[in-house]
Amino acid sequence: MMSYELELEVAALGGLTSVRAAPLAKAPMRVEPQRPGSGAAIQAEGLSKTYGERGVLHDVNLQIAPGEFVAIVGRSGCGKSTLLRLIAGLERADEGTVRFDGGPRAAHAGEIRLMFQDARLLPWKRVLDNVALGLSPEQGDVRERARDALAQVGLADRAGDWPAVLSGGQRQRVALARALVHAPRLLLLDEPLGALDALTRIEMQRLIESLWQRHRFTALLVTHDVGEAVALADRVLLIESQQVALDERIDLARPRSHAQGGYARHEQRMLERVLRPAPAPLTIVSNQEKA
Amino acid sequence: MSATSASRSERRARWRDRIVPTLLPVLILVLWELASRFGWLSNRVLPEPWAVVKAFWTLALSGEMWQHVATSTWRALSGFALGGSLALGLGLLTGSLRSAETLLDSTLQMLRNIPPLALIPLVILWFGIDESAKLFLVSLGVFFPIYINTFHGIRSVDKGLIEMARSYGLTGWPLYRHVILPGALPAILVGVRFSLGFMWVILIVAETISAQAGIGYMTMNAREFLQTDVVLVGILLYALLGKLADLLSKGLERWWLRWHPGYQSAANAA
Repeated sequence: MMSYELELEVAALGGLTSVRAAPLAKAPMRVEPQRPGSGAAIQAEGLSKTYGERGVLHDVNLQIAPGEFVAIVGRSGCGKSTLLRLIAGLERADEGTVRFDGGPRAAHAGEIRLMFQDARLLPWKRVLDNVALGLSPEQGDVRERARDALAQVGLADRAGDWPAVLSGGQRQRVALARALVHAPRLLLLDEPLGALDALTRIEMQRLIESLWQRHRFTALLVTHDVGEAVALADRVLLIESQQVALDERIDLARPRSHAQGGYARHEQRMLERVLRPAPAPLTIVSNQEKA
Repeated sequence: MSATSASRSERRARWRDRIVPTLLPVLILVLWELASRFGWLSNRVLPEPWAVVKAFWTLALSGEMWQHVATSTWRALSGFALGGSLALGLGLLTGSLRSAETLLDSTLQMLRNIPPLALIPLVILWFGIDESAKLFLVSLGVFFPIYINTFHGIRSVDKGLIEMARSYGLTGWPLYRHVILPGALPAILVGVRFSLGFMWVILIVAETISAQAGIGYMTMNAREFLQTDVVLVGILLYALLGKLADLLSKGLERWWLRWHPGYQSAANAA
């Protein structure tokens, strides 16, 4: 009996110290108090990752301000998805750390949400239950919140359908609702529009932009489409030879369109830069096609 | 005008599709009946169909048949429940944990290649000829189809879905319940259908060896007295029960896999 209580106390103490240690653990950036639902500040310090012999990222440093929309572009296989997966915590970096509001990333796993290239809906759950996945009942009426998120992506009337009967664009919108329902402070987008047709893609870009403007989360978008990056992002990063080779700010008013002065210039310059030092001549094809 | 005639010919075609498959069985029954009536077919080889119907009727009325059916069904289901749940548990274990797979799987794969019926002499030595022997044989027979399919079902769950669910905070039991189990379910149900068929095969053999009740006992008893009509009733009963088990598992698939595109059109049409 005694020892049991003692153990409990020790456990509680351990819990306390770890909680207290989190914000104290060397915080090089200023930690601003965040209201819930607003964006998080993200820092990557010295990230390196190799697969076997092949180095993918080497000593990558990155600062993302709260609420910023950052796009990562690069040739296929350049490591842009790997960078996103490291920040998401889906993979472990060989070296370096990722900080979330100056603290360790792991403590904020619940505030980071991901959208994948394929929607990854559970086919055996109806749309509404897919959106409600991972919500705990203590957070209020789960179904009501899921319904609300579905309404935000314009699919309230499909709540009772199976994912199998939805189109590709609709599935991605459900996936977006599933991410939003958690009110993430960091939304990671891993080429979520890559498999969609051109019209649906533009529609989705507008939807993502409007939801981002409304909720002010920090957004990190990986894409192979330079045009998409210029249309959505405050900053575009180019990953090349395992490094951030270019960090360009896009100061165009929103909503953006091709008619805007500067839009085409940004897009052209980024594209030229992506294509210029071709490491292997045969890999140019995919990027030219996309452009 | 042309529309109505089209629909009429369509209806006629549908009727034809329904009737044509039954022609051959009916013809065989008629020939069989005639052959028995005219004495071309000895009653000791095959009784006339009408005699089988009569035997079915009298056995059903006396209540004797139902007693045997109940005994056999109980044996089949309890064996299925025991072997099936063990198989499911072990399949989930080896499918989910690498260490359990390394420990158990090669042994189980070795045992799988032994036909359960080859164990009959041993089983009689171990359990004698009472209920536990039949329970053991049926459990063993249904074990492997369910085990193997559960194992492969768990292994073939989409890794992307598991990754997604983990990143959404699902771990442990919730991850299992919402992602892994439903993902493995189609394969598990295939195993269940296989083993339901196997269940009756094993039971028939087990019951004809030694039993004091059950359909197998009824037919073996009838053989002693040359009651070929009762033997045929027993065979018919096995066929009916097998069909029933198959219908049941199909129903389960329809309900549990109603999300699956492969079952959706069927469910909508029904």
